[in-house]
Amino acid sequence: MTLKISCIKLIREDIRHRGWAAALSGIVLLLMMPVYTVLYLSKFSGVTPGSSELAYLVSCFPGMFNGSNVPIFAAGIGALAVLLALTGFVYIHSREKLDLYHSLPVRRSRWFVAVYLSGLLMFLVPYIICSALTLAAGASKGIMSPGLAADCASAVLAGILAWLVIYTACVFAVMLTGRTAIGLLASLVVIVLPFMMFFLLSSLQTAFFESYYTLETPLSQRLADYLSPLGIFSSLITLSGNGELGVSVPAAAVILTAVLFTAALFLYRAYPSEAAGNALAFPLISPVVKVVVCIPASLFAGLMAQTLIGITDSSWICLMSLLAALVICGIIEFLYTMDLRTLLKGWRSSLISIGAVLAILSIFRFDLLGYDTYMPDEDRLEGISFYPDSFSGYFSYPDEALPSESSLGYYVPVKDMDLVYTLAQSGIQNLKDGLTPDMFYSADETDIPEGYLPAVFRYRTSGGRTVLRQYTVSKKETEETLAQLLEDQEYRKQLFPVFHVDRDKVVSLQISDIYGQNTNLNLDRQQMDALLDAYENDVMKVSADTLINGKPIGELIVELPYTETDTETGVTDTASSYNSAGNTFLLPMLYIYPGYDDTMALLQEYGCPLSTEIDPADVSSVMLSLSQSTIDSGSYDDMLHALSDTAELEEYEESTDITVTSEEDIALVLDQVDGYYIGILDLGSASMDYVNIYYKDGNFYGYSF
Amino acid sequence: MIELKNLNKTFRDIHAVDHISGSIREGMVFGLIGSNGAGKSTLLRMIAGIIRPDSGEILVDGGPVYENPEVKSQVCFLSDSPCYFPNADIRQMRDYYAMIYPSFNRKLFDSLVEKFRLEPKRRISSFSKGMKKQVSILLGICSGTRYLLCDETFDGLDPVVRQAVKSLFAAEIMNRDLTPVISSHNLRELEDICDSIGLLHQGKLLLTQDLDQIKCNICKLQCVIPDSHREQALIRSLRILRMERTGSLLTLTVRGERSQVLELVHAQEPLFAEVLPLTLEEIFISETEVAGYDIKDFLH
Repeated sequence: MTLKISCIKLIREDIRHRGWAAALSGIVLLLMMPVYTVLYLSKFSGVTPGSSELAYLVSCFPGMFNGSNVPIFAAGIGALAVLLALTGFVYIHSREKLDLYHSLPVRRSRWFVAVYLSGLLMFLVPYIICSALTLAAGASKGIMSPGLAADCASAVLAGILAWLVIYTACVFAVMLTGRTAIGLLASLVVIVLPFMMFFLLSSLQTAFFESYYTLETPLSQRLADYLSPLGIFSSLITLSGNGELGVSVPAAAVILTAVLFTAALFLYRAYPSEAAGNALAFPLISPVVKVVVCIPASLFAGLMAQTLIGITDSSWICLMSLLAALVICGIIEFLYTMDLRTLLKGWRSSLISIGAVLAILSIFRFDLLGYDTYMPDEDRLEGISFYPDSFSGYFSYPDEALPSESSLGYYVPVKDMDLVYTLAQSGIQNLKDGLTPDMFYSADETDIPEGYLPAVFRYRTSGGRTVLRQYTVSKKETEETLAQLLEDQEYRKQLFPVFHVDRDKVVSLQISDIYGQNTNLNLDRQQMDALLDAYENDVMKVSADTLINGKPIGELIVELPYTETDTETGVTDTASSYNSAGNTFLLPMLYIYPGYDDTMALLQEYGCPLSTEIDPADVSSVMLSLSQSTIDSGSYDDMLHALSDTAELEEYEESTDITVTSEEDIALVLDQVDGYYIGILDLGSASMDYVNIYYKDGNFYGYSF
Repeated sequence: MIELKNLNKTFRDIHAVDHISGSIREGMVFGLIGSNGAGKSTLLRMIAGIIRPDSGEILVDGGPVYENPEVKSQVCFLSDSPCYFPNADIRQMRDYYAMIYPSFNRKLFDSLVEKFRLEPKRRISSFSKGMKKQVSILLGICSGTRYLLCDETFDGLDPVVRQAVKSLFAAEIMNRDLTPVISSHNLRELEDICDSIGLLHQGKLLLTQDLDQIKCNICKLQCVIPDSHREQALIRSLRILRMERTGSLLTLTVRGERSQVLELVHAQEPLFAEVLPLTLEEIFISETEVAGYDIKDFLH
């Protein structure tokens, strides 16, 4: 006789026995999807074609299907996955139940598949129904279109895959354990631990290596999005909500689910009956699990302590991590045996865990692998660039979509590579002498070393590898290096943003001078080209010394349209300012120096000469705010004494505000300020002193100096 | 027939079943007795295909049982603590067993439920321990399997139900091909119902024989022999399992047929000699004592 109990019958019975879980799944999804959507949409009354409300709803509607813009819903999907996995396979944690199931004439693999599929159906059926209802709610509001429907379908698919990854990870964790509470903990470990492990490498590098610098998301963190259940869950939800799902993350989700499913099935088939009631189903793996959990968890705890407590000394991370390793080993041993007297039973694995944590911390703390001092050999170096921190405040590029070439500086000419290489070497020496880039980001201004600035170096080796490092370099040496580099015409062209401007796209040109007001030049295309030609000419012929040590007298501002890519991907140029009137942006900071004769001549011709000083007659009032330390320094004593009685002084605990309204007083105060322009190697000022200039035409200009 | 071939099972440092070999013939009631922790439940769970032996082989009707649904469809295991689905009533469990076991006899089950006065619509979780056992036994009997493995199933049943269940077993054996394998500590119970016995101790099978044969081959001898030399000669000639002396009265538990033992004792000219049959409990105590499981160890 051939006996075959169909899987469908087993699934039906399992769903019947777990009816409450199926009902809960349905209720949660109903509340989170159609009910929430209807309530949310009811807030928008004026949804008409072309309206901003419609655009907003279209952009956020796919998120209604998987919680990308409702985090509690996304968490609910994860929680349902854990709940259905645990309730489905909880019977393996009871000897009596296991005896009942496994004594019946059904293969273990069939049991597994039946219970797995019944859990899946308990989520999938209500989820699909609720998705259809949510879609109907959107359609009734008149926001649906074929494109949006496709985005919604993609969000539903992502929601199912995200649920499936967590569900299967949880099933796998349950198979490793013999108690339900431990199963729940193991689920969290399986879901979160790989994510944590991938994040640890870059986090430890950030915490311990002074020269560590990264612009893009580090590889290890990107891998977390493809190899860890939590990373995949998060990526699927986020990307599908933004309409950027693609293929790679869903493919990773399918592969990881398949791997976890196979592993869980294998474990289920081998699941020992006597495992019920024990912490782990397979005692042999207990020490391995302890080591695998303890090492990353301890390091993570140390880093968390650093973040939460705000400690900067990396020695504390070591101490906290080691302490965490001890505690975690104790907790795991207790969970294994539930007996405080046996905390030291697994002393060997505890010792290995603590030893490994110590070894890893030593590698990072004492830089045993020489990360901070690493430089590629000169003969293996194909390119080198350097990017002092001041560049970010001085240059602004039209084609800058982070991370970009320009955001890390351009590769210097081959003939000048040794110059930058030497500068990098001196940066490493500075690092050894205790001058770290972190000092420049210290809250205490006195920590910032005088005459230095941080700079990012990028090495491209002959193997095609790119290595980034950040050092503190001497300002003087940097000036000398930059002066040499600027002698090279090609490098100068690469470095200055004007050469990156697409002339055909220029909408308008504006200028700004010491008044701090943007003035539109109202030029025709030929005039604009002529002005830009003149400006480029001036940039190329002006001396490096002027560019490095000179003080700008104004700036040219270019209005450019957004490219399609910018608007589609939402890439923002942090250095450029947006024109709120339309789809254009302003590219500022094309500085004009006193030696830019051609530019100034053309501006004169166009009737827009640059002012080099503010006429007090144009100003209605000036408010100067000086910090207590500036007052104490006596730099402004003469000016303060010379002010008339009309000047108002308001003294605060840490500053004094001086407001002047008479023309004489305004002239006196304006003598002390000379406009806000930053130099090519200036880091800017963290000074508390600032000035607000109120013009008679109602405009205003304020800056710190 | 169930064949056990050199079965071995270890749970970490506990040797639960130690190289057991034997067979359980069809159509008879097999009793599995043994000391606490002897490995009875483990052996039954291995026969039911719940546990895979570390080594050795179990064949049920010639086929391996583990992960073999066809063979397992002929084996029903009744656990010492029966398990039911949460909130399930008798009808739901009946339907479930009917789905799993194609030969499940619904009609018989419903009539037995009525006869045992169990409420079909009541949640099983609200039943007493004994009632839960009754449900378990009824499900097992009605499953229609050829082998019914009962792990301490009679424990917790009241005497009336016990008798009823025994009668049920007898009737089923008469009506169809059924081989119950019953483990229990209640040896009097097994003595009444079993045809064959397997005695387990510390994972080893000390003996497996028909109950009648066991009883024939072991007996209790009480005698008084005035001559000490003759007494020693008698002791040397017998296969003694246990020996006690009260004054001049010698009480011996010996292996061998009653007639042979009587013949040997009469050859030594006793003042008084009597050979008595042993109860299963006495046999159990004697055999396990030989294997080192002595009541004196608990007292001193």
